[in-house]
Amino acid sequence: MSTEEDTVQEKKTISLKTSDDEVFELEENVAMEFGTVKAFFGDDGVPRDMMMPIPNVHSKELTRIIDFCTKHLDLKPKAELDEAGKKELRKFYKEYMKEDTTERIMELILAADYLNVNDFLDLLNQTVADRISNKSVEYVRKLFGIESDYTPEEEEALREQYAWAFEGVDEDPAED
Amino acid sequence: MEPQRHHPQPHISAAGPTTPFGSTASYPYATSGQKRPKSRGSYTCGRCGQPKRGHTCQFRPPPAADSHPDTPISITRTPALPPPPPPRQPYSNLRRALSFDDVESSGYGDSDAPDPDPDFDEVEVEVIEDTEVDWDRGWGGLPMSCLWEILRRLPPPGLLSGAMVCRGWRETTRRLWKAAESLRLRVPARAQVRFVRLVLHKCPNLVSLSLTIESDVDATMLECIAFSCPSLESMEIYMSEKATNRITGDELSRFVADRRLLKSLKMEGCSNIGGVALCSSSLLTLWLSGLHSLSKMAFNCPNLKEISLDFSRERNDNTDLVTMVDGLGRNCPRLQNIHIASVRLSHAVVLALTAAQLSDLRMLSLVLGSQITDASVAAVASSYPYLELLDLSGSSISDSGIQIICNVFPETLSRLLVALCPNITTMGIVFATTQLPLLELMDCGMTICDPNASDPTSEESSNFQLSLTSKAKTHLICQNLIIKHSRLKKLSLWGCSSLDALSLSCPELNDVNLNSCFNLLPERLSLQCPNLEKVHASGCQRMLIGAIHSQLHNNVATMDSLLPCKRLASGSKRIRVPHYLMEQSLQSYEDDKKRRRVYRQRCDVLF
Repeated sequence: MSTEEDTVQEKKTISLKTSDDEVFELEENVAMEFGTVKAFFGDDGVPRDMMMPIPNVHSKELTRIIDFCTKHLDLKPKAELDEAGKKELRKFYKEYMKEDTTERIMELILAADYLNVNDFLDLLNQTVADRISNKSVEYVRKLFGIESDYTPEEEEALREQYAWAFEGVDEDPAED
Repeated sequence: MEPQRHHPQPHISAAGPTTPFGSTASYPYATSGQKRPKSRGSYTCGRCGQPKRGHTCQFRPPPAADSHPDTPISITRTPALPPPPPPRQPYSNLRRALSFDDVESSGYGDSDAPDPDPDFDEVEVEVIEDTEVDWDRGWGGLPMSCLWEILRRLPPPGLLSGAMVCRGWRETTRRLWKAAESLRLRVPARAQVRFVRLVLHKCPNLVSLSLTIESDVDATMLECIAFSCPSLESMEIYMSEKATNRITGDELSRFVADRRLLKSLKMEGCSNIGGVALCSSSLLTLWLSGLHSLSKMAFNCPNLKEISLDFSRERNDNTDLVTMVDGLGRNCPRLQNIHIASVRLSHAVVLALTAAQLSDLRMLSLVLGSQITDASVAAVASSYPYLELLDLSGSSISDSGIQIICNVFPETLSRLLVALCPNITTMGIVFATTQLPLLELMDCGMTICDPNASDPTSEESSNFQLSLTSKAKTHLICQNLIIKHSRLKKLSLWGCSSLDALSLSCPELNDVNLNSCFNLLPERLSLQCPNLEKVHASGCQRMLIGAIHSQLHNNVATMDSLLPCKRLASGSKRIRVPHYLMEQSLQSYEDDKKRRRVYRQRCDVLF
């Protein structure tokens, strides 16, 4: 007899296999946030119970991406409903990447780029942009681990040309 | 807290904001016409033609001079099978410059990117280009496509300094600049022309340019723009408060005449435009504000659709508006939207306008003209019976004028603004709301109040904050207003200090402005507007604000108790539907649920 309890929708899951051979089972709605996955299964009948390999993504990154997508999927409809929901979503964006090192964010960018997770990519890119905005060139190089390939003369010339663009640059913050 | 002045502004934009001047962050993110869908490029690799899914392109053209010497070059071409995963290189080990192939410019624009930080309005580079994505990876470092996405979120100074990091970054920024079609820039006070020249030099494809200028500007800026942006279609110049715009009418005329593609021109602070003759067959939109004492104003712009002319409020403005409007009528027959703000607006000007036979006219805004009367309304109504927006704020029209409006425009008028019209009473407002069924916006600010209480057009009080003196001996007191309208979305009654009772029954109403309705009594307020999102109540009695809150919550509470429900741990809600209801149409149950969702929308009370 039918109980009054919720009729549980039959859970559709999708399996993804990462580069380190771990298999993740995700709910279909979360997995479909990944553009690459969505395209893979698409409408043309690739059976959903087939496991999709994602060799460019490590389980560490995938865990994090899944975490973001799940939370995001929850907050987005609430944000469309009222102001409080919008505030919550903004707060979520602000806080979510606070603790991560820039290096970690880069790894996540690569993974999210491969999987085509647009919302997460936006947040990641914006976070990095915020971190380098108004910082000195040396700071940015250190952050990304980049060595300058300019000759000293070129560098001097560039500096002179853009001298006034560097007014108001922040003090280099502590090591990231 | 909302500013209370009536800011005469073009109400024109269909999709855009309504404060064109003095606000840099207010434009929609995508300003250029070609808005590509948010797709991430096609699914075949641009270089070898294989599907990109799981494919690392092994085909590469000869490396460019820029690329790093020990870039590995793979030889074999793999089919669509995913290649073995490249070793994961942690970022901290990266010690060489990012290198890039010299492929076709990669990256793509995303005009819908969220901009969560509203302070990030200094400068923006918007890129709209839908080209192949560079999927090269595996040498460590970000592919150009990812770097592009990060760098394009930087303001122009950030891009300029980003170019200094290394060659690869410089190349990316170079491509970003080149792809830029739209640029919004805050020009620093020092060396402004040099700055603008430097930046514009990088984006020769610029289509739309918006500058906010911090120090005095003159025609050298126009020359710089003319030289650097041959494809310019839209230009906006906003002035910060301390800066003076020294561009003269002749210089502006020359600029416009030479720009064959210019479609939209908006400029603030036009105090030095003594006289201007604008000739352009491409110009569609023209906004000039801060005008003063124009000796002549000729508009030879046969395709002009929208014009907004804001004159400064000084008394010694001696512009001959009649001749100007006459010329407008003759030379710009396609005008659809007209906005003129000037204290010298008069009935003669209106007659010149009505004689013009502008068959496309849909929005008319003639504000600050205290000499505009009901006769002017009659003239407008007989010549232009299809108006969708009519703004006669600051005029002397009375309830009879409103009646004329209601007789002529009920089938088209959706926006009516009659703020600061001292001769309008509650009767007139009720006329409008009962006889104009399509009305969506109505502004009756400072109408139902004592006209002697404060002089809104005085130069000193540029914000019309009512001084709350206790000697409010008004002959217009204890006014009661009842408004019922099925479509009204936005209503402004700011400054209606004679109102002491208000009843609103408008199912679509989103926003109501009651600022400075300080005589409005809490027990005589009734808000039956379930879709209300914002109530402005600054300057009102404390108890009124409390009354507003309780009225809004009452609307919510009554709806919530329809059906018992429980909230599960996952946050989802399961409604217990009693058995007997199951037989009945579930449709009505669905409708109830939808309605409840609507009511739960929270309303902000701003005070």
